[in-house]
Amino acid sequence: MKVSEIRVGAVIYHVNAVRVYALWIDAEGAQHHVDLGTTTEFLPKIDALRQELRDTMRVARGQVPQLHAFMEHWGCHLLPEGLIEALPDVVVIVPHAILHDLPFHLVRCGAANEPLGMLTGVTYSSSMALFARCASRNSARYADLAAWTFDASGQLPPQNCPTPRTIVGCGTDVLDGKHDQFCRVAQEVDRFLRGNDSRIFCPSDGFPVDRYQAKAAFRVHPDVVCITAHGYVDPLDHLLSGLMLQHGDILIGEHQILRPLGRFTIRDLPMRPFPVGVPTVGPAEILTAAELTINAELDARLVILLGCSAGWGRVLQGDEPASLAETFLHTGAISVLAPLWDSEFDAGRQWILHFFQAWVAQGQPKALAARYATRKLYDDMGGERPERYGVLTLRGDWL
Amino acid sequence: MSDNNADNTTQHIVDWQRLDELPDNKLRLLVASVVSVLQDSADQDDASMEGVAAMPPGPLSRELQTVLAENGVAVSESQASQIMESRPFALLLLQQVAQQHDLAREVEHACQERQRMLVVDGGIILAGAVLLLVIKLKRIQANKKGVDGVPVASGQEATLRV
Repeated sequence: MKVSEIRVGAVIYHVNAVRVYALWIDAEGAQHHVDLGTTTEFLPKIDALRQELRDTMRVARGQVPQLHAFMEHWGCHLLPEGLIEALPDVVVIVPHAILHDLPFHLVRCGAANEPLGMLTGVTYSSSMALFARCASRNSARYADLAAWTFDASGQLPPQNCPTPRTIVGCGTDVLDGKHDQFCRVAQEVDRFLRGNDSRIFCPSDGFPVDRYQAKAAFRVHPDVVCITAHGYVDPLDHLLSGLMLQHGDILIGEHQILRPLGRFTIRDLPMRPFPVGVPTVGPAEILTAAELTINAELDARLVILLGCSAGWGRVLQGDEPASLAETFLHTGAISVLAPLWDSEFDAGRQWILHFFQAWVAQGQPKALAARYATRKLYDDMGGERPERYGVLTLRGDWL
Repeated sequence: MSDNNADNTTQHIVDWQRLDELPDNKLRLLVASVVSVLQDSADQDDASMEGVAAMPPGPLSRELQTVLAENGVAVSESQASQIMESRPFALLLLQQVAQQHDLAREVEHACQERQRMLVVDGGIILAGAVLLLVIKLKRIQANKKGVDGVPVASGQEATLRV
């Protein structure tokens, strides 16, 4: 299949105090305004679903009746009429207000009654402006898309595919010290890339994973950034949420400014103290969203955030979801893979490996690679654990 | 792929004989597992059960105080709060859970599933949540001397039957 022939549609939601609307743009560009129902009809159900998915114990034990109800009963009422009939290869979903963080990709639909994310490639973006920004800086879009071909069955090698080459990966478990396990994801992903400049930081190998090293790693402009770490959500201020990394000894940051200023140094201190009451195996600190937006240079084609609480958060003013995944997109990442709720480690790892099989080895665009990964995990698990096979989502550009 | 129920493949990750050696974070995890398993055995339509795990410590201790009072046990708010966060009391509850092998196995399985998650375990030990649930489930006897001997006054020997 040629990438230039991929049919892309978009569903852009609008929610006001009374009703929920969708603008459905089909693959031919035709626009359809759809009234999906009243806000009061959906709000209690969404609230119950959100509450259930924030209950880590229920998710861990697979006791998610609200999620099943969303998938099998009321979630389909949030999909515009015509979407399933004209199903494009890729759907860009732009939620609004109360619809942010809903797992639309798990809604069962179509003749086979399968999750949407297994029928089509799904990517999420919190706004069309953010999607346009991610897409416009994606170097893959400057490739010859008519010459870029792939075989979804994986039997034929991809042609003229702008394959990612380099990865910067790190993993650190500051809570239990299982650094090796956390690093393994990046190491396994690296095997797909086979780049010469890849760097995997693992504390067990003597490489500290701290804020300074992480930001320095971003500056080498890797194609892929893979971070496995615990996340921390500040209940009051999203900008002070972040990733729990090891404590670094380097407190001075050096920055290069174009002439005539030259080099100068700054005090590179954490922007918040480590939260009280979180037990760690050693000194730790938080790489906050605030620090990422101010002091991180990032233009990776894909950022993988495999960590708790990385992909969801409160919706801030201006309809901006306060999640780390969103912050990475704002910082410059083209696409982000992040969990929508607290994730089971092995399921997340398997999903990512399937994704890389499709994206790198088969040359599929990222949204189609996400579809492939979801289907593989669904088949492996028998479809009974949506909280596992559906936890990871693609955000940002689909290509 | 494991199913939702406890099964024979569950590895023994909890040493029930040496509970008192558990660090606070592991104890917290185990208590949360007990709460989750007990909630499963509650009536699906009982909304008061559903909210227990999600309740903050303050409202939870007030709820515990009310429920104990309904059962003829008068405790002050500070006593209810002490029960809520008491490590010895949590250990006592867990020792009782350990006596019931099916329940213990289910708790262990829940604990194992929870440990596979990439989650920060913070907060405090909410032993009171377990007590609240078992009273509501009528799996514990309360009388004027206490909740089968729950230390409502200092110095009282604590015994408990779940």
